[in-house]
This record gives sequence, C-alpha cells and structure tokens, in this order.
Amino acid sequence: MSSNLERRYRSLLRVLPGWYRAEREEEMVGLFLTDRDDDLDREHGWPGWDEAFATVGLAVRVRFRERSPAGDAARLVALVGLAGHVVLAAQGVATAVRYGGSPAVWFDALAVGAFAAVVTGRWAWARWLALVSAVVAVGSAVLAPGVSSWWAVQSALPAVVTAVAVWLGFHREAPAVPRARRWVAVSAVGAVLGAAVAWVFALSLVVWAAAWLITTAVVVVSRPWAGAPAGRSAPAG
Amino acid sequence: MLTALAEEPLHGYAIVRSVEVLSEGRVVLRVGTLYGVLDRMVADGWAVRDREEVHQGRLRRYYRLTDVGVRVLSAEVARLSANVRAASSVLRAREAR
Repeated sequence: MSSNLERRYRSLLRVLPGWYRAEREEEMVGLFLTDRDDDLDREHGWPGWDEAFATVGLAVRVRFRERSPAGDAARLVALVGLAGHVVLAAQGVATAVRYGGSPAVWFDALAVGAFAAVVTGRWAWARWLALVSAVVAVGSAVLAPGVSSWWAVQSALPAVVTAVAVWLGFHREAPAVPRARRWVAVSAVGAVLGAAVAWVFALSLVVWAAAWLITTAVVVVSRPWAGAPAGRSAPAG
Repeated sequence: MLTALAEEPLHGYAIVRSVEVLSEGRVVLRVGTLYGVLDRMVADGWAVRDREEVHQGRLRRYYRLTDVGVRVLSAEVARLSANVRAASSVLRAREAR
C-alpha cells in the first residue's frame, strides 16, 4: 500500500506531461523514496522545496522543449516581445533627442541586453535581464504619480508577458535561436521605423502602439522563423 | 554525470550518489535535475538505457555511456587538462620570478 509521502510525490509529478509520467513516474517515485524509509516520514513527510523546484523546472523543460508547439510559441512570443522592447528603447532615445528629457536608460538597457542575450545564446542572462526589466516596468507603472491604472497595466503588461515567455521558452536546454541574424535585422528595422514615428508624434500612446504595430508588421513580413534549420541548444546559460 | 557513467551502467540513485562522491559533496543532484540531464544525454546519443530491475518493489532503470559519450568525456578531460597545464605554467612562472 502506498504511503502518504508517496502519494504526495505522485501529486508533485502531475506537473509533468502524461506521456512523460507514463515513461518515468515509477522510476522517479522509487528514487524520491529511496532515502526516506522512516515510518513517520512516510506518513507525515512532504517533498522538499528543492525537489519541488527541480521537478517544476523539469516540467518546464519537457513541456517547452525543442520542436514542441508550446516551446516554439513561447520562444516566438519572447523574441517578438524583446524586439518590441528594442523598438521602444529606440523610441525613447528619439523622443529624448527631439523633445528633450531623458530616456528610461536602465529599462532600455535591460531590454536591449535581454534581446542581445537571447540571440547570442546566453539564456541565463536573457532570463534574468527580462525578469528585472519586467519588475522595473511594473514598478515604474505602479509608482509613477498620476498614472491611470489602465495605462499602468497596458505599459507594463508586454514586459511581464515577455519575461514569462523568456523564462518558459529559453530554459537551460532550449534550442539556439534559428535565423538569429534575421531577428537582429527585424529589431534594427523596427527600431529605425519606431524612432521615426517617435520623432514625428509626441503622444506617448500613439508612439507605444506604433512600436508594437511596427514590430508585429516587420516580424510578419520578414518571417524570421521560416525555413529555419533545427536548432541545437546554445552552449551557454 | 558523464564521469559517473564512465565506469559502469548505473541506475538513477547510483548516479546521484556517484556524482556526490566524485564532486566531494559539492554537487547534489535533485531528481528533476537528474532526469533533465539524462533526457538530454539520451537525446544527444551520449547515453542509452541499459536494463531494468525491480529492487524492493521499485523500478530501477540503468543507463550506460555510448561510444559518443565516451568521446565527449575524453574531449572534456583533454580541455580541462589543457586549462590545468596553462594555469600551472603561469603559477610556475610567477614562483620563478
């Protein structure tokens, strides 16, 4: 008869896909329980936090692995989001030059750094830079005086979605970005077009919307994912 | 893990113990981490499943290194040895000054 501890481990393993559990569950449960043979522990013990985190990490890597639809979608969202933030950074510089003031240097540097880290295969850098960028975006939106809640959510949401997609899609064993140079070209073209819009229009909502429209349009037209060879995992990160 | 599997086929728990011993306690593999790395090694052809056993009512699956895995380990050993030689050479030169 299975113990409470075994049932708790089996519950933890439900974060893994069904096909993976069918293959590995018995093996993994056996390993989890190997050093936990005290009767009290078997009845009242729980999986440790470190085991839980490692299992969740495994679930992310399995569900968002190479050539999986979920993984490919997460990586596409991450790349589009990061490219959009590069365009926003370019707009910030253009607006500062044209109308005065200072661009959000730290936020822009984080976003551009995260994009550079992804296209060069530095996954760990990309994940942390995207996360800090999202935290800065949320903090700026929440703490800025006189900002409406709608504008706050709308301006911070892309950074949050991008950070989540980067964490899900660019895990330790993610494939290298296929057509990385094309993604760099996409962001460069988007940055130039976005900066031109920011040069002409002073209204932040128009400029913000233009950044995402331009990014989406350039991505759709250039189709950087098309004809990509099967990527291999990046060596770093 | 390549080093742990180099000597003989091992099951999951034996890999965890071996990695801990080889690293003198610096690396303690969690189960999720172990299977993430094993999946990757099998996918890359560095390791394959060897056999299955039932031990005290629990499934134990053994893994062994392939020839590709041995070559990868050899290349890594050569790379690390070159790093050690370079560092030793710099230290000797410093002591000779």
